[in-house]
Amino acid sequence: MSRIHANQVNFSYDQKQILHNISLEMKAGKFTGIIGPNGSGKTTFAKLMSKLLKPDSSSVYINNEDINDVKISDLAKVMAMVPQASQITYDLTVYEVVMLGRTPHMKRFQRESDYDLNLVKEVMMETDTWQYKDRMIHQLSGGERQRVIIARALAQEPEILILDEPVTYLDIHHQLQVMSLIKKLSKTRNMTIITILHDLNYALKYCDHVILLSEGRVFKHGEPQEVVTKNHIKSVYNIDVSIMDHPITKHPMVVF
Amino acid sequence: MQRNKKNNLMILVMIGLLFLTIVIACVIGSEPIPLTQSIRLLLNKIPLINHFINIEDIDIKIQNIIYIVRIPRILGAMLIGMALAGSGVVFQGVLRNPLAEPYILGISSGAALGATVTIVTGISFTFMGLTSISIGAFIGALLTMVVVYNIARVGLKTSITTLLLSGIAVSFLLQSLVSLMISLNRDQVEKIIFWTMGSLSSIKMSHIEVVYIPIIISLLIFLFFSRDLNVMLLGEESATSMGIDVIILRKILLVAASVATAFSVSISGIIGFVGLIIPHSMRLIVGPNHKYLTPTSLLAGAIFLIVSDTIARTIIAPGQLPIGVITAVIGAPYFIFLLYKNTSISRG
Amino acid sequence: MKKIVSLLLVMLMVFAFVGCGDNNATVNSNNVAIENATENATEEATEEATEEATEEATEEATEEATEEATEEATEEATEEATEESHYPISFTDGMDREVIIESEPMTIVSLAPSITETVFALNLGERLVGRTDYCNYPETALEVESIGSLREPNLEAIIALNPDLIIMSTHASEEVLAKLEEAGLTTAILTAQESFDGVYEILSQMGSIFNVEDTSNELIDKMKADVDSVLNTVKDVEKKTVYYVVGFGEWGDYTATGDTFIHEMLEMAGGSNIASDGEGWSYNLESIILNDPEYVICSELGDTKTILEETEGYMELTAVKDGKLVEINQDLLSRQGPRLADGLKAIAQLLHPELFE
Repeated sequence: MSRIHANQVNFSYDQKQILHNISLEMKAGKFTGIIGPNGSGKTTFAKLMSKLLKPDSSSVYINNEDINDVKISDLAKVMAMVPQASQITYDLTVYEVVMLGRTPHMKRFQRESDYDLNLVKEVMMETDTWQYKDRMIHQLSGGERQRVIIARALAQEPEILILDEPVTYLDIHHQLQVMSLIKKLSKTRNMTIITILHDLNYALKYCDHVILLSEGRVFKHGEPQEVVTKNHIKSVYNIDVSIMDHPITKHPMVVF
Repeated sequence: MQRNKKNNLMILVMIGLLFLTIVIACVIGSEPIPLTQSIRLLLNKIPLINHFINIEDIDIKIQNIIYIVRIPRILGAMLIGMALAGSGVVFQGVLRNPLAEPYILGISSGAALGATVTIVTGISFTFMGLTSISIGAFIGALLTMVVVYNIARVGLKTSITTLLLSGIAVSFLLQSLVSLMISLNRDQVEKIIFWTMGSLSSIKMSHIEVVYIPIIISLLIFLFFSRDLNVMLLGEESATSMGIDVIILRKILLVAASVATAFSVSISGIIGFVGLIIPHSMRLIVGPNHKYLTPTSLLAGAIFLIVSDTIARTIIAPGQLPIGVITAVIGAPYFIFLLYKNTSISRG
Repeated sequence: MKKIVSLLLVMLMVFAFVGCGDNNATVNSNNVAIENATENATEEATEEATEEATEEATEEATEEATEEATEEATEEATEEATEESHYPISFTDGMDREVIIESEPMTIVSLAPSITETVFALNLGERLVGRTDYCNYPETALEVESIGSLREPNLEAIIALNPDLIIMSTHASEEVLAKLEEAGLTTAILTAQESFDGVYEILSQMGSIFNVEDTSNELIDKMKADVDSVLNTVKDVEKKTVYYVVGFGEWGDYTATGDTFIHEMLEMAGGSNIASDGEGWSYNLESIILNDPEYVICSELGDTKTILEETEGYMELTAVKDGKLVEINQDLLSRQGPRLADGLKAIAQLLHPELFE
C-alpha cells in the first residue's frame, strides 16, 4: 500500500501560476476523487503526481520518498496512469496493448515469461476484456477501449493508480461500467486510487475521500458528504444545487 | 500469438531471400558472366570458405567486374536499403505519423543543397575515399537536421507537430535555394539533376568502407529500442508513465536515423519511396510490433533496393537508369494499391 | 622592216666589197669605207631601231595601261553590279524560317561558339560585337563583349548593340528567338545535321550571307582535304579499340554511344568504339572493363585525366595502365565549326601516333 503526499507544491506554466501551495495527502489504499471546475488545476496536479510535470518548488512524495529522486522506469513499477483520451497510433491487438503494460517489469531483451502471460490474462479477465484479446484496438467502442487501457495500467502491477477523467467521454452505460470496475479494484486490490472526476455524483457515490480544488488551491478535502455540499458548490462552481437523498439507495446526490 | 509465430518464420524466410537476392544480383548484369565464376568469386570473399576456393583461372577482367563494380553496388544497395527502411520505421514510430519517412525533416533538401553548392563551386577533392560532393551532401544533411531540430525546440521539449512543420518549412527554403543555384548555373543542371535522382552506379568499395560502420551502428540502435518504440505507440504520456524517457528516446532515435540517412544520401543521392513504402508494407504483413517490424523492414529494404539496382543496371543495357526512377516507378503504384486495398492505413 | 632592209643592204655591201677585193689599197680604203659605211649604217639603223622601239613601247604601254584601266573599271562596275544584285538574299535557315538579309551585315552577334569560330575563320572577326561566355576561340574573340550564356543570353545587351545580324545555332531557344524578333532584329538560326556535311552547309550559308563565298569555299575545301587525308592515312591500318569518356563517377558513366556524331568521328579516325551498341550517351562500367579498350580518350579540361587514373574501375583498365589514357580538346569534337577537321585529325593522331610522325 502506498501513500502519496504533496507538500507546498507550486507549479507555473508560461508565467502563469497554476497551482498554489498545494499540500495534500492521498491515503494509502483509498479511492480518492479530485473534483473542481475547469482550470482549477486537476489534470496538472495529476501530472505532477505521475512525474509528467515537475513542480516549481517542493515535491511530491511516495511513501516519504521524493519522486524527483526516483527514476521514471522505477516509478513505473509502482505507479500507473490512465490518461484522459489515449491516442493509439497504428492498429495493435488488444492483447498486445495490455502486454505492453508489463514493460516496466521486463528487461530489454527478455521474452514474456509465464508470469507475464498469466498476469495479463488475469487483469484482462478482471476488466472483462479477455474476449477481445485478438481484436484490433480501434475496433472497440469507447468504453471497451477504456477498459483495455485500465487493464494495461493494471498489468503494471501498480500500487498507485491515477486516472484522469476516465469516464468523461463515455456514454452512460460505459461510465457506470468503468466506475464500478474502479471501485471494485479499490476494494479487492488495496491499491491507492486517485481519480479526477467531473461528475459530482460519482464523487459522492464511489469515492472514499474527495478533494475539491479551486483556482489552483485546495478548497476542501475530506469525506465526500463533507466536501460536496450546497455551500461549497456555490462557492466554487457558482451554481445553486440541492443535495438530496436518493429515493431508493438513500445515498446523497446532487440535484440541479 | 499466432501472429508472432508467423512473424518469426517470416524473419527467417527473409534472411534467406536476402542471400538469394545477393547471389542473383552478382550473377546478373549488363555483361553476362558464367554462374559458376560469379559464385566462386563471391565465396572467395567470405572468410573461412575462401580457403577452399581458387579463382586464379578467372579472367582478371571478370574479377574486376564482380569486385569493383557489382559487389560494391550490391553492398551499397543492401546498406542503404536497410538504412532507409529502418529510418522510415523509426521516423514513423517516433513521430507517430504514417506519412513520416527519412526525408521528412529536410535531410534530402539539405543534402541536395550541399551537393549542388559543391558541384557549382567546382570544389573537388577526395577525403577518405569520399568525393567532395559526397561530403558536401553529408554536411548539408547534418546541418539541416541540427537546424530543424533547434527551430522546433522550446526549452527541453520538442512538440512533434512543431518538428514536422519546421522540417517542411526548412525543406521548402532549401529546395528553393537549390533551384536558385540551378538557374544561375544552367550548364551544371544535368549533373545536379542526375545526383538528385539517386544512383548507385558510382559506388566503390572505398565508399562502403566509410559508411558501413555508422550505418550498422544506427541499425543496431533501431533494433535495440524496439520495445521502447512499441510503448511509444500508446502515446507519449502513457509511455512516460510506463517508464520510457520519451525525450531522450526521441533524440537518440532521430539522430541515429538522421545520421544513417545522411550517410546513405551522401553516397547515393536521393532514393525515394524506400523509407515510406517498406515500413508500411511490412506493418501490414507483420503488424506494428517493432520486435518484428524493424527486422523485417530492414531485410525488405535491402532486398527491394538490391532488386531495384539490378533492374536499373540491366534493363536498358548497356545504358543505365538512375535507381530513384525505378523505386518511384515500382513504389508509387504499389503504394496506391496498398492504400486502395487497406483502409486501415488511413487510421494508421 | 626598214632597219632589217638597211642592215641587209649594209651586209650585202660589205660582202660585195670583200668579194670583189682585187687591190689591197682599194681593199684597204674600201675596207675603211666599208667600215665607215657600216658604222654609219649601224648607227643609223640603231637610231632608227631605238626610235621605233621607244615608239612601239610607248604605244604598247599606253595600250596596256588603257586595257588595265578599262578592266578595273569594268570589274568595279561588275562588282557593284554584283553586290547590288547579291543582296537582298533570302534563304531557309536551320529551323525552317525564311530569313531575308537586306544588305551585307556589318555587325554580328554570335550566340554559339561554333558560329564565333566560323566568323573569325571567314576573316569577319572585326564585325563581331557580341558573343557568348563560351565563345573562347580564337583568343581574339575574348576581346569581344560577352552577352551571357548560350541558353539565356542577356537580351537587353543584345538589343542595345543593335546588330545587323544575330546568328544562333544548336542551342537556340524559342523564347530568346521570339524576343529578338519582337525587337525587330534579324536573326538566323544556322544548324544542320551533326556531320561534316552539315558543317560544310553552315559554312556555305555563312559565305552566302556575308558574300565571302570564295573564302568559305576555300575553307570548305581545306576541311575536305584534311578529312580525306586522315581517311587515307588510316585506311588500311588495323582499327584500335577506343572508349571516349564524356562523364564518369558520380555523374554516371557517359560516352559517345553509337547514335552520336563523335562515335562516327572515332570510327573515321581509325578507331573502333566499344560503346557503339549504346544509346543516348548512357553506358556502364562493366562493359568498359569487359571490352578493355586499347585507348581511352578523355577531356583535357581540369584534372579529368588525373582523377580517372585514381578512379576504381577505370584505373585497372589496360589503356590506363599502359599510358594510353589520352587527352583531347573536346571543343574540337563538339563544335560544329571550322575546327571539326582538326578534331578528326587529333583523334587519329592519338590513336595512330606512328602514322603521323
